[in-house]
Amino acid sequence: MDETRIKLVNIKPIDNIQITKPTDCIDFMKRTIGDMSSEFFAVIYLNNANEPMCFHIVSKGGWKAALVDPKEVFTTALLQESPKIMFFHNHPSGHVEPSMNDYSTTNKLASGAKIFEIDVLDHIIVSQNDFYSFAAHDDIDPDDKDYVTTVKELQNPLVFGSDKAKDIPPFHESLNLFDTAPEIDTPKRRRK
Amino acid sequence: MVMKMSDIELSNGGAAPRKGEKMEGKGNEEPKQLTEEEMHQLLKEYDKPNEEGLCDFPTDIVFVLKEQNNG
Repeated sequence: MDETRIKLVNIKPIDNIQITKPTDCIDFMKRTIGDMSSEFFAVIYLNNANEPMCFHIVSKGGWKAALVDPKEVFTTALLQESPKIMFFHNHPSGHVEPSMNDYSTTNKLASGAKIFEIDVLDHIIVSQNDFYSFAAHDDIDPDDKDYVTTVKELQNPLVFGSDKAKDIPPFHESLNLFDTAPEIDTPKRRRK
Repeated sequence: MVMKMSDIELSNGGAAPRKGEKMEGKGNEEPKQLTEEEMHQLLKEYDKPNEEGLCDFPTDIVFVLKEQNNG
């Protein structure tokens, strides 16, 4: 039988970049593919410690869509022995709401990942200034619930209380209740 | 067919291929360090609609963000 080798031809280290956790990938991908006029579909592969190891442009399409071949996605995941993956693609229009095709592609890839026992953390649509997280909208159900909590805070800062939420005055201040509430007279104890 | 782990080879490649450039012969070169800006510029080179609407980006390039610890 002939010897068989599977080879990834090019692995290109990227220097001067600090990506240590899954949510760092969102800003990184906004910078990387958010401003493209064609659709790029990328996958980030993470290790067991949730550290992003590498990313892979799986497909590049036209201004409207990119065809994703699941074989490309999972070949790299298996070669990298990656237990967790994140999907990213950009919407050149700038509107990050998912299309029906986006939902069906996500479901297809998530089903494939289950066979290999790979946890799909998220599928994120990016534009230059915005993103849509499937996990934050409960459209995908990763095993890593801590990630879901974190990305929900990022996606909805006003609801879940990140830095932006700190700018909102507390509820009692916004209603000004304490300024208008009458002072309560407490009965004084009489000395015996 | 049974495949041993040692048969799976991850090769650190050389310079990024440009459009129309063949990938052969790049496998044994030293990996080139890219900055984020250089990587973005590489993607920008492919950010043009092609006639067939098919992927023309070389999909066998993997960009490393963190070297694996094999120890």
